[in-house]
Amino acid sequence: MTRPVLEAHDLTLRVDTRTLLQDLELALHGGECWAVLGSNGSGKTTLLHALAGLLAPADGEVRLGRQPIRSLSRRHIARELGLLLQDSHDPFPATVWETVLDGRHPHIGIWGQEGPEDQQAARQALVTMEMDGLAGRQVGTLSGGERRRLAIASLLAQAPSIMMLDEPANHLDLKHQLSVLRHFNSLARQGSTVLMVLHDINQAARYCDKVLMLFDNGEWEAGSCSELLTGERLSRLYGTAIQQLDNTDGRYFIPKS
Amino acid sequence: MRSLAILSLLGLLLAISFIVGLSSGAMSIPAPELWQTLTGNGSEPARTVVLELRLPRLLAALAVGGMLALAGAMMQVLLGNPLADPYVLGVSGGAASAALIAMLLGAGSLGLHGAAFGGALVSIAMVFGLARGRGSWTPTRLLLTGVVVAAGWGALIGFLLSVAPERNLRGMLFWLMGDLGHAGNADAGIAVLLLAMLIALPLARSLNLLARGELQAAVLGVNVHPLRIQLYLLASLLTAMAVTIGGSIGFIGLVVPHILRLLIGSDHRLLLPASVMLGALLLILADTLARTLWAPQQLPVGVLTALLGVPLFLYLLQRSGANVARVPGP
Repeated sequence: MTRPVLEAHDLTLRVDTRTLLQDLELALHGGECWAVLGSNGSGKTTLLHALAGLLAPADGEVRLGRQPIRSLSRRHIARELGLLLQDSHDPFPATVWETVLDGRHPHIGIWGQEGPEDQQAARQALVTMEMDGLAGRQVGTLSGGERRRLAIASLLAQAPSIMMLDEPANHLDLKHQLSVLRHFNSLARQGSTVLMVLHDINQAARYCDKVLMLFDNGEWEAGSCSELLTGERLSRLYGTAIQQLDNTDGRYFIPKS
Repeated sequence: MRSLAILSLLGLLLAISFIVGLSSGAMSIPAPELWQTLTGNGSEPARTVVLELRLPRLLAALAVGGMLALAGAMMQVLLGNPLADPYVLGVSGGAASAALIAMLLGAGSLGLHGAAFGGALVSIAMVFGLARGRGSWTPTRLLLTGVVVAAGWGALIGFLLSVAPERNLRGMLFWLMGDLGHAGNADAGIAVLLLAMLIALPLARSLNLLARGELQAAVLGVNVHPLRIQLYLLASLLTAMAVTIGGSIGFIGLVVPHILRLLIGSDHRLLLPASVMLGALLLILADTLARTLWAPQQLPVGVLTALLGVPLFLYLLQRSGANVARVPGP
């Protein structure tokens, strides 16, 4: 097997005195599409931030390539690893085009300007997210779903090989949820590494091949979706009864009433 | 292309305002005579008025206006808050308190400038030290600390004004509202302004990202913590210098960056130099009006910046709605 692109060793995350995650061992490879599942407050967002090197773990370390991520510059990290934040906020006016071009920042030198290839990447990202008609619009005039697609477009323009997404389906209508998940799934098939926090188990089962489950007491389980996604385990994960339905075209999960 | 056109237009307006400023006043000097004076052939009284009185004062207005607007644009990004201005963190309060004490002690012009600069530095160090506390250095903490420290200075200023002897009050009031009449060292101001621009321009693209929040900026490759310290120190020093030269001149730092955000968008590569130019332009106009409107009496220039800035800003805000800046799409 190829070398992992991102690894977590003995990773322990705490908030105040509460342990969110204990001794996580995780290795992400090119071509994998991961789902992160867990109930509210189980530490999914904190984990993504730690994996992106944005916060120091209580213990253990994250390695990007072979190097400890905390020893790398943000610029170096941003060329290889992108993170779609759970929320975006824009206190100052900016256009859709400016915002998506921001994704190119790590690829442009200090005195450099956006070149044709940056413009091309940004334009392509807008087209992929069906936002190309809105390029001249102010971000403040967009709907919640359009803003979400803009944030995703900015990540696509950044074009890192490792993409982490914190609830990418937030604010999106069903059609766009599916097209976004399908797109990241296809990026993984082309060799990228995708890790996304999802709340919809069926979407995770359909678009991801690997899953990381975060339980409430710091325990975790990681492995292939086909192995780990079972009604029994998911019921324990969410603290509510979930029934598994096996169908000819796949496995479905519905809450028991 | 668009950036160049905008900056050229601002440059042209700035040059015109400079010429108007040189030629108007108690002694009106028409353009041809002004040209002769500047090339060294004018009459003696015209030379004195233009070269020794008006030129230094206009240079001071240029430097102070540019510094305040640049500091304002930076502070707004640093604090992630469009309401921030160069004075919000108490820099001017510290400078004013020290300057007023110096005035009460009968210090001369040099002592006054020294005290103002020292007071500003003390306030900067105080806010910076206190905002760290034992926790992290967040925009909210910084803003709260600054606002509270500024309120403390405000109380001290109130106290000083109420115990000051009658004859000092007018001078103190002028200083509090901004006064370029006693501006001594415009050269130092212009040097600081140029230096700040040299440091700030390479940071401009990072500022665009920081404006979208610390996390977003870090994710896109900005080393946020050092950038924020740089911004804080740079904006504070600009403000300290501006206050030392011209007293606390309100409104430029708040309004100029916003007028430009409404008109030309929020790309700091254009916004920073444009802010410097529009700030200088606005303050030159305000100071020229302050000298001439009520002549021979002079008005505090802070009164004029607000009288010019408030209606201009409100008009633009009214007109704009949300959909203002039009940057060409792909």
